[in-house]
Amino acid sequence: MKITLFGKGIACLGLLSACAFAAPGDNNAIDIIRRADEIRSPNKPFRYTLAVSEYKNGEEKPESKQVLDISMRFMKPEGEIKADARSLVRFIYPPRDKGKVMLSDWYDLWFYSPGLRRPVPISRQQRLMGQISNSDVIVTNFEYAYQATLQGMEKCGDNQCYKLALTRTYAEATWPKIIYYVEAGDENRPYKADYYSLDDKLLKEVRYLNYQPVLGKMRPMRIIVQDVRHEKSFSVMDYSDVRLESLPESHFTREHLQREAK
Amino acid sequence: MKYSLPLITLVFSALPTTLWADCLSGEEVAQNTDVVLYAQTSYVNKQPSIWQIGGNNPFSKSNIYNNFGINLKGDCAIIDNRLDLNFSLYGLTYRPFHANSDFEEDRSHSRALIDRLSVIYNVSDSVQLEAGKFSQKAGLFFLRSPADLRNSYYAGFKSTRLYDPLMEPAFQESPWQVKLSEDTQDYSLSFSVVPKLADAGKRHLASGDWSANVRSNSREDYLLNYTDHRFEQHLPAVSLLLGETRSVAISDSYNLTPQLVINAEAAYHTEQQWRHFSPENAAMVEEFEFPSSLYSTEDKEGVEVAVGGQYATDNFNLFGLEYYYQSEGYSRAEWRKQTDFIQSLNSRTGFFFVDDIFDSYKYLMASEINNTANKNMLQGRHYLNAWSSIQMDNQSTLQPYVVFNLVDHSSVLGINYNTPLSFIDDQLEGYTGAFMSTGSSDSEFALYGDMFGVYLGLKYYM
Repeated sequence: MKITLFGKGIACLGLLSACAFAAPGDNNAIDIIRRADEIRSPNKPFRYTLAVSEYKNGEEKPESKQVLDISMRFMKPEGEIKADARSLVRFIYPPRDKGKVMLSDWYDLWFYSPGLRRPVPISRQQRLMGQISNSDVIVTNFEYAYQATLQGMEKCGDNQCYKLALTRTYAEATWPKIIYYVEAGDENRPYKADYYSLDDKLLKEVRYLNYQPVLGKMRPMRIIVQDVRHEKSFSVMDYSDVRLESLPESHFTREHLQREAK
Repeated sequence: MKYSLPLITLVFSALPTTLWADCLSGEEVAQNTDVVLYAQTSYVNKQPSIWQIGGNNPFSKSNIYNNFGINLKGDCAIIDNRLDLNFSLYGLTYRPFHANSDFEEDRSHSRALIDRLSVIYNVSDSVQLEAGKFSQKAGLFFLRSPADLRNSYYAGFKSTRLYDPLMEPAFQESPWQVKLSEDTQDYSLSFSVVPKLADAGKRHLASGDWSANVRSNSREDYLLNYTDHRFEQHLPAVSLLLGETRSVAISDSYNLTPQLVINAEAAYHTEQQWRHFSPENAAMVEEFEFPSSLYSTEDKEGVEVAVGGQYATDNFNLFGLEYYYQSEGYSRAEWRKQTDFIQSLNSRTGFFFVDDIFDSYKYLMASEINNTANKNMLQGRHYLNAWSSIQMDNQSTLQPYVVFNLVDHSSVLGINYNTPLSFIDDQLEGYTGAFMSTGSSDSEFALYGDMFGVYLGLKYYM
């Protein structure tokens, strides 16, 4: 594979994620982000299939495609239950990638393939494919990883959106700054996120599309990632088969990676 | 322990048939089974060696082999998140262009291998019980891992195999066993029981011609393993083997940086791990007394040590260097005694029945030496292994490797290249490569003559 690895941000993976402590900031902004996060992810262990397609030079057919089977274990602290944020990513397409598997444990990320002897730590700088970097596939839980301020309202499609400025609380969060557009109204659906570099240059635009009723809420089933340096190329992440699932905790350990790669 | 297999069968059969029906229904099987087809052609050239049978070179100088294989691999949940079935089955066959010589001929040119057939029961959130046929977790080193305290034998053919690197584990016969393990974020603890299901194999036959149970379950073993995951940069582990032999191993994998890993393993054994040439028995042959075996395992303590490093680039290119030492490896003088004896057996006495006996001993010695290697054991003392896995832009991979015996300076080197053939079919992958073993005629890796081979293969994921 062109090493199809996600970054450390996988600790906050999937439709959603998890990262420990709430950041200080504008209380109203945090409420909006929390509700938006809840739309991107159910607050229980779940599993889904993620198809990542890369489109180049305006072509209608994807140049390449990768399919991942992802299990999330996201537990908020409650009573004696400790907070947990782990995910297990199995590569299922193309067929030659079968057996490759990744584990995220908060901000740590481990990769294992049958050709290795032990899981190896991998960094979030590694690219998944096309415009997609690790942190794109793993949608960070903005509430925990970023400090937010509400900058005002803007028109987004047929609706009005809150415009939120997010700055990262932890160095482990991939993007230093994000401008996040969330639809006003009861549900606070994510609409768009613009990712910026440390020197305040726009790097990527992420759009949340194809809202469908999934696990009791309308959730985005398609995310399009556009790297601004490659205007005619973009990558699409399609979510499917989202369901609640509670794998035993032992599956989310490094030891288990080698069994998963059977 | 001899009753373990029937017990496993009983456990399988005791499950409600409705569960089996659901898990193994045609639709479920089709959905959860991956089928891979293999086709490969290889050419192998061998230079004459010190071995002679009837005064002649017992090996084909060169031959072409056509190999075919099929792998069915999959799993299914008998009870969701509670009880799973895993399987990986191989069918292998080959056709040589020229007939194999006696030294190279297999009992059959076709073989079925069960690499994995097991049920996993999740006893609790962190405890699992697995029963069936499956391999142990491999140690940290590719050449030879001291922490691999229990080794099965090679299950493939003598002169050819599918050279896809991912096939290598499948060729080591996995044992029938029961394993209880606890995996948490902090540690992993496992206890395995490997029952004895067969007696040791016939020494004059290559391990590939033994039955599967002989290759994997010819002794009773108990294996305890503990790995601690609490250290940020270290991965310490300890393994203990009890049973017919006793061994203990410690290992650590130290992440010097996220990309650079230093690995170390050491093992202590209360007796020899593989059968050694006996000069005393060889002397008996020269006195025309004919012992039943020239090899034995003695109660001599031994140690194995391996250290190495692995570097991974941002693009996931891997570079590895490994050093391996074993105290029970032959010294230069001990190895020389063995090769001198092989050559002495080549001399013709003029008495045909004695010459026949000498030839029979050579068959026996060749099998013994070969089967030691088939058990994943090296026979010298000091080795160096350098390997790499380089990712190319077109999603192909280049994998060169070289192994040196630091004492007799013989070596094995090779390179493998595999690439998706998406321009033909997304499901098609090709691989090609070359390998050679070279050294002096009485060295370990050139004991059967300097060898050179090339291969070209296709894998189709159905």
